[in-house]
Parts: sequence; structure tokens; C-alpha cells
Amino acid sequence: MKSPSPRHSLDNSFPLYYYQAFGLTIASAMLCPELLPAEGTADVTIRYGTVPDNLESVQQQGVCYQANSEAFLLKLKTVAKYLVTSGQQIIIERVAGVQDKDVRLFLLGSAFAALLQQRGLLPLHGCAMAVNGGAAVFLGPSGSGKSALAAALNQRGYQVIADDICAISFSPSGVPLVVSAYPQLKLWADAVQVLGESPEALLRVRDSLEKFCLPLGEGFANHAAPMQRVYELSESNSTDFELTPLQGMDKLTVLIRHTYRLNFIAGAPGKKRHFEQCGQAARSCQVGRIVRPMYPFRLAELADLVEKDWA
Amino acid sequence: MGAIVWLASYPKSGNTWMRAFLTNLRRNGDEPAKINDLDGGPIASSRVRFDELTGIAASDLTSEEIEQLRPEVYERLAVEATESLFLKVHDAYTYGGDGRPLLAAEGSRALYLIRNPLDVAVSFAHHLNKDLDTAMDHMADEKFAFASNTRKLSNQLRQRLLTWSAHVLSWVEAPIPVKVLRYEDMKLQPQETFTEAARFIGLPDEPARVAKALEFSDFKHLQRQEQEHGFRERSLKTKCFFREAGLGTWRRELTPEQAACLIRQHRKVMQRFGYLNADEEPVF
Repeated sequence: MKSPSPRHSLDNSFPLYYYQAFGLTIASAMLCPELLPAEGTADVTIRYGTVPDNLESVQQQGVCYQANSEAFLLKLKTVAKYLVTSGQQIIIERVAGVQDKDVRLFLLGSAFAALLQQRGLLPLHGCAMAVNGGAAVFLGPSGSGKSALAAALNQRGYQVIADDICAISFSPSGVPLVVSAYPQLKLWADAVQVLGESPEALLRVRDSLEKFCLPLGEGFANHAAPMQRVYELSESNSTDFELTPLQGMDKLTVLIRHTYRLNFIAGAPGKKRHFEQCGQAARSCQVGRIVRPMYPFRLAELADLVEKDWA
Repeated sequence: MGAIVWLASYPKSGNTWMRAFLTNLRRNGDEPAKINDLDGGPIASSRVRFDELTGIAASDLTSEEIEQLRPEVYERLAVEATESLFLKVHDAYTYGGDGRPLLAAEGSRALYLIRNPLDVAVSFAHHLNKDLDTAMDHMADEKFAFASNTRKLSNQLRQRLLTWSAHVLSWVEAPIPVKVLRYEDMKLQPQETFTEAARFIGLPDEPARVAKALEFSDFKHLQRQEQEHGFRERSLKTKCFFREAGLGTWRRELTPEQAACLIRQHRKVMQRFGYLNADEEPVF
């Protein structure tokens, strides 16, 4: 992807590159070739700086993060520290000698998820496809086949709206909208091969991993779409596929369970908003559970199943 | 703050049976606990829990980076626990480059289950749906690990098992309190052996309660439940998880050469834990 020409920061001290993702305009001191270029006023600024080792008044914490109601700190000893504040700014302090793409991987992952939460969006762990003017969303843990399914459906002509972080905003009337994420899919080598692509032709997410970036180009839907259907992907050691429509609390449970980095949400108001958003989303769309045989990964049959469901 | 009790074993050595017992003992219900809802899970190497507790995706990390973070994951788990928890684990007790144990966690202890490696080989071969020689090779391979394929994502993190002998030694010599129980004693003297397990973990040990939990976790119940409802932890490669729970099944399944090979590879540890008599003949 061609890099945009940089503009300059307010004090002219460093160049900023303008990108778009999640309906936001992002001004970044770091080149992000994964993202689409943009014009306009920045909603979010990404710059380098000094990041503290700890936050004050920590309300949530894990091995690599701390959060309070205003700020989120991600600490990766071998890559970088990221400070995300007020949904508007990300400061990166990188470890010397680390590759840009390693720094970007966690920036565009957990750090951005925290930023979206701070902005009041509902990030889900899943991928979204543009279907019949709306969005079909597939939720599930890492390894459940979300990205591979997105790639297979993309090959069948459906555009991808989001992969991995599937962020939901709400229209003034409360309709859940899937906002477009990054114009790429991340796939493991075996999934790339199942799709009939060659891993050698693709760039690695990190040099040390056999996980690859599949650029989407025209296969990316660069617009938000109403979330109409949600599928929870799970696997079992059975031999058959199952698709079960869910009702009531089961729908809500799926959305809560697959909230991207649920533990990052700090403070009672944020938790309350999250619960309400999941309820609103659950009421507004159909939710079903797909159980697929774990092995072998019968990707084409899985794609057939969902295509038939929304036909 | 709770303490972690590792429920540790080489695969196919009675770990799930022990979990079923401990679950029934703890819950003290009127019917056997469901095999798909046992305590002690998810396994220590669960990918989902790693991601939750670290805040990043293990799928973005190398195995080496993951193993640097795993000790902190268990420290975090112990900090967040409100009471002691027992946790299934098949990893060997290994150490990072900095000398820190992979399974670090303040106050942790381990219940280590050991089984005659001749019977383990038979059960492991069925579990993997591989021939006996392959299972034996794995048991003799110091680099053997589960979930080590770097071309795809497993729902578990890489688990280094080492050789069968090294697995045993890694745990019994770990710098934490370790209680070793033999699978054979669990079979032959269940009341006494499982009472020891209950006491070590800090669960009730009244004889009647232990006896009921033992009955509810009897092999026939586990097998029936699997036939009726399936078992989530069954390997895809095998028809059933609860296949056979006998002692000495190796005598009809291993060739004399295979048995001799296993004894040669694991003699010292077999002797140490009473699996060979003075004449170096298998005891069970």
C-alpha cells in the first residue's frame, strides 16, 4: 500500500501520517502501511514519547496492562509501552531495535481496543462481512476459525468489514453498526494454504511467526453497516455441523463473552455502559451458535452453512 | 489471594479421574458431577486464559515470549483467586532462561500422578491414534511438546513434556511441596490413596464422603457419561477418552521387545517408584 505524504505536528517537530480506521481519522508519527490513508482533522493522535511504568488509581490490571477510567497502559518488555488516554491519544515508547511491524501489531491490537472502549464503542472479538446491506459478525476465541472463514467468504465475493477487532457503534436510534477496521486479514500458514494461497507471496505479521497479512484491496468494505446477524463460532470433537438460533439471555451472554479485552473496561460507568450496549445489540440482531467439527477444518462447508443461513 | 495446587501428570496417567474425584468430593452432590463440567480446568496451558490475564493475544507472540509471560499469568491467577484452586497441567516443571519456573506462583503445591510407563505407552498410543512405537518415541524424546505446530493455532499453548522420565523427575524435584501418588495405588487402594489427595489439597476427608466421591468418579460412570453425552476433552484422533482403566494392559499389547525398550529407557525412574522389582521385572 502506498504511504501517504506526511503533514506536520502542531509544533512542527515531527511529521504525521494521516490514516482512517474504525470511522476515525488518525494522525500518526509512525508509518502504518496496514491502514488506508485519510484527509481531514485528526480524531486520534499517535506519537512517540515517554510512557510511565505505572498508572495512578489503577482499577483494572493484568500481566501486561493497567487501566483506570481515563487511561490505559500496555507494557510489553520486549516491544514497547503504549499509553492510551481519553480515546484521543496513544503515546508509544519503543524498545530500541524492535521492528516497526512488531510495534504496530500490538498498537493495532490491544492498544486500539482500549482506545475504542475509551471512546464508548463496543469492540467485539470477531470478524464482520458485508451481507445484504448489513453486517454478519462471527465471534469466537483465537483459533476458532474467524479469519479463515472471513477469507473464504471474501473469496466468494463478500467484502470484509473487520477482522479481529469488530467494533460496534450505535446510531442515535440505537441501531448497532459495525465500523470498518483494517483492510487486511491475518492468517496462519495452514489457513493460507487451505484457501489456495501461497504463504511465500505474503508478508509475515512478525518475522518470527508463520502468520501472514492478506491485504484485502477491493475486498474491504470501507463503510459501517448495521449488525444484523451474529454467529458464535465454536468447535467440538463431533463429526457434524450444528447451527442453533439463540434467544434472550443466551444472546446477551454471547456478546459479553466475546467482548474484545473485556477486562480493560475500568470503572462502574464503563462497565454499565458495556452491559447496556451488549443488551441493545442483542435485542437488535439475530444471534446463533455454530458448532463445527474441530478437525479437519472443513472451511468450505462452514462457509456453505452460513451462506445458506443468510440466503 | 489463593494458592494454586497443580494437578500434574504425564498424559494418560489418571489426571481426569483425579479431577472427577476432587470435583465430586468438593461438590458433595446427590449424583455424579458431569464430566464436561469438572473443576481443575481449563488446563494451565489454555490459550484463552492467557489472553485474558495478559491483555494481549498469545497468537501474536512466539512460544519463547509466551513462556516468559506464563509465570506471571499464574501469579496473577493466584492473586485474583479467592480460594485455593487446583489446576490440571501436563507441562513438565521447567525453567526459563532467567531460572524462573514456568509454573511459578507464590504458595503453589503439586499433586503429581505417576503411572507405570508401560501402561502409559499403550494408553498414549490410543490417545494419539498412533502406533505404539510412535508413542514410545515421544516418551523418549526430550524435545517432545504438545501444541508445537508453528503453522497453525491450537487452543492450547505449547507444552514441553520432555521424556517420560524427565517429566517425572522435573516434578518430584520441583522446589515446591509435591505429593506423588501412583495410579496403581489409586486403583488398588482407592480409599487410602484418594484420602491422601484430599488432605493434601485441603478438601474434606471424612471416609463416607471420600467413598461417595470415589463411587461417583468410578470408571463405569465416567465411561457411561462419555457414551451418553460425549467428552469435550477427548482427542479428535480417538473414539473414546475413557477407554480402559486396567493395570498391566501392556502385557497383552506390547511386544517383549517394546517392553524391554521402555524398561531400558526409563529404568531408573521405574525403579525409584516401585515399577520394577529387584530382578528388574515389572511389578504391575
